[in-house]
Amino acid sequence: MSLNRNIKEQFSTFFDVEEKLNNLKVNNFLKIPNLAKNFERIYQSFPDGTAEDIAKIFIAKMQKNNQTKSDEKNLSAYLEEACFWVVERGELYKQLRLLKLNSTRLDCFQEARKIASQPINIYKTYNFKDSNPMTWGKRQIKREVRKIAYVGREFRRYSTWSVLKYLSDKILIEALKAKSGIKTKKEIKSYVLVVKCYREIYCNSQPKKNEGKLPEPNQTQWEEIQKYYNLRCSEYNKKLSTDESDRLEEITNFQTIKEKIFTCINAANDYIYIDDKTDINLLERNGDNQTEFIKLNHPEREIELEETQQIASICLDEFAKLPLESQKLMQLYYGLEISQTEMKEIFGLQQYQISRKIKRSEKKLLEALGKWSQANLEITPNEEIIKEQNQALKEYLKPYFKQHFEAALEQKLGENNQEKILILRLYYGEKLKLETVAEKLKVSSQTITQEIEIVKQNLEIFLQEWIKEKMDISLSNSRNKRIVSFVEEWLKEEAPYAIWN
Amino acid sequence: MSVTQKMSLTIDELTIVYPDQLILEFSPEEIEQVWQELPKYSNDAARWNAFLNHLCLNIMMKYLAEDEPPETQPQISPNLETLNQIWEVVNGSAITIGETRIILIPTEEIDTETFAIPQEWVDLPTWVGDYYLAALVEPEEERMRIWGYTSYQNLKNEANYDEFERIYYLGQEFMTEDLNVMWVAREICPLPKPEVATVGSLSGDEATALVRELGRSPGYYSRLEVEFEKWGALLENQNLLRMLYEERLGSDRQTSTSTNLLQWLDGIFETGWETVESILNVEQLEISSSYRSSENLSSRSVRISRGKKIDLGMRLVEESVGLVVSWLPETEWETEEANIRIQVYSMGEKIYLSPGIKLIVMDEKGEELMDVESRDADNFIQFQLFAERGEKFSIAVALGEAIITEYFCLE
Repeated sequence: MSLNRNIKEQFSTFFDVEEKLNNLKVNNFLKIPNLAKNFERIYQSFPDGTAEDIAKIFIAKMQKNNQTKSDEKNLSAYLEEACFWVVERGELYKQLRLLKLNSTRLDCFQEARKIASQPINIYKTYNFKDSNPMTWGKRQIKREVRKIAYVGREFRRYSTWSVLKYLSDKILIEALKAKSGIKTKKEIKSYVLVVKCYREIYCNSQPKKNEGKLPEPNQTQWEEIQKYYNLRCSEYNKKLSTDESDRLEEITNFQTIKEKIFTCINAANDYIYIDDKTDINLLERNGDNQTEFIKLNHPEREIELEETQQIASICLDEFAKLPLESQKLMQLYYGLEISQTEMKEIFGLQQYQISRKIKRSEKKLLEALGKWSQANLEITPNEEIIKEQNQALKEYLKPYFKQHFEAALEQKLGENNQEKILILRLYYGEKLKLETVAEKLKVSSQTITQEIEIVKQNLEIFLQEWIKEKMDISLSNSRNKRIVSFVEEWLKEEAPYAIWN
Repeated sequence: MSVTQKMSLTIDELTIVYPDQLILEFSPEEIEQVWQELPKYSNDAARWNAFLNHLCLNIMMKYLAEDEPPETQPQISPNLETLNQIWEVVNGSAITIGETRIILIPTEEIDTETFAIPQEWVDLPTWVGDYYLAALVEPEEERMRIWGYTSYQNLKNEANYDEFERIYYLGQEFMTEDLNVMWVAREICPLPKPEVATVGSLSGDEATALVRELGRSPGYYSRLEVEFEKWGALLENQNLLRMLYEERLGSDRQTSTSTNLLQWLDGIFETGWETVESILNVEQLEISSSYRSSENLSSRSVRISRGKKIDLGMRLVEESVGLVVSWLPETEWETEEANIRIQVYSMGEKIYLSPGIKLIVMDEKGEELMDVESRDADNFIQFQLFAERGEKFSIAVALGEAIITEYFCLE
């Protein structure tokens, strides 16, 4: 994979990205001279090193807490590609859309970049052995972006007085530091303790059903929180051994408690809902204006080919041993992304049973993979290795199960006449505008729309019947949502128009 | 990014956000059932803690049991009754599958940034687990999510210990999301069993004092009030744990948890209180009646008498005694006062009480009023006391570390 940056550029340039026709495009590399210098210093000692090797050197420094600010930025620059690919080719963008977050690809890229701006968090547990830093980085970035989007969204459900119940101390402290101007360790301690007492005395003592909403505590409740706070306070002070200045003061008025809680609520809200479109300030544009247009024609490869083949042969054997029902579940879940709720109806099972069967099947495959590498690669497996294998396995399963359905579609579409395929190729394959396609073929745009719609519907009906015939499974009869989007995505991203040329 | 809808995600959407995590839904009926089955707690926060834990445990047990052969069926550890008592003071529960012990810690914090594990589950030899599962429970959304797990070793290596809260905090970057990694690792590269140093034990007096002290501390605070060594020693002993639980309920002293002796006069007896004949064996009945006659009290003299089996059994030794409470006739000059006699007999085949059994009477506040201890070859030990209408008192029977407290009132 390469966006054509040389090794020095990979550690010292950032992308100038824009969104065009539903795709991200890199217009320029933005050079940061001092990052280039910092890179050179490292590179001098390892002139034969690959980007991967150099990244590992930076990571090792960081894990030993030996890094400079520039080292971190060098790694952020390295991760630009990861950010780019998780949005452009990965599923992240699609997933965020499903979360009903109205984001553009560009927003999504910026979110990824925010995560990449803290490489220390990404590589804290990186073990240098089982995956390369880029693959590792991509996984962490994807996970974090999804999580942050989710948490931000979910927090909106909670009313003012219940927000603090659902917040970890870690985020609370981060929020206080970032948004309230409270800085000293002692003050933070006091606020966190107030929140703990508030949770225990008030939030957890409410009637069972509160639907994420709590009223403001009344005076008696505030006073109870105050009383409990003072008790915990004196206990805390007793445990302090030497430094008297760290002692927490008693709170003599319940209003003070209320004010502190309010500060925390505000800080938490500001911190979590942050609508921060501002780009992280790493793009100090410099003078020389390279307007090189980067063509994106290198599909990303998440897993090394050799590893993929390994997984394939082991998994196929093991998959065939699974009960037929489990096989079908896996095919539908991974291949078509049929949801667990839909599967409840299809198989007449409860959600936990579906979930259990899928997890068990995955476990069987993982176990086979683990045992195989133990026997054949002479490695002593440990949890870290199994964790890596599990990631690789999951990344393999989706395309693997998808390809059955795709092969069926491919065959079906091939039966169509050349003219129809040409329309599809121009519209989907070359991503031309509707009007341009119409102009080229000398027909009206309306005709093009109709033709495409007919092809799609035929493919949808075909796929539904194919599943019924091959797998003995009836999906809901009217246009199944998953079938519709599967066909659409296939036409857009996967259909091999070139072979029908 | 902007958000258009306030609705929470569906379980399907959540599966997309967290593809590796275990997400389980449950029904309103399952929630209701948990509420129904909850025993009493001393405060609302403890009740909520118990509710979350019990719900989480039920859902996880149901999931784990599905399609498993008998030898790998999950077991609640040690049992639901003990966990019910634990939840009064600590968050978390334990499941065993074969040799593997899994600790389940529920939370409601949705940001899943850190996993907070109470020290009890890590540093007590009978509590420690091989793996720790972090469960985000959302009762209102009717779902829960195991957002990750850690092994004991990883926890010990990477977690930060907060001495003030007695909690181990493990950052999410050190957690593994997919439980399959745990299941497979457990089979192909099992970790050594955790080795935890034993905590000291408490003397009988220490235990009594501790139970009484912690019985009155507010909220979850009791777990932080005394040094961990002592607190741990108390928790490790199931008997002491039960006493603490009872003591904490008692500090709220509702009539339902104490025995109302006045009602006995109307023939109303709380469960557990049986006729003396059904509690004691023939020899002891003879002893008790000969005792009465030696005191020159005719059979008319006992107005009502009831007995209860008290289990002082420690881990290995079986030791049950019979606690017999009797109304004696009121003295002519003090008709306002009830004349109550408390006796402790041995039970089963034994005629003599084991030496060292203590009978303690305490006032409403738990202050000790008097005590008596059995010596060699005592058939029974006893007290007589006068109580006024409306008064409350309690009786403790103790042997070594074991103490059982019974609460009484005259209302």
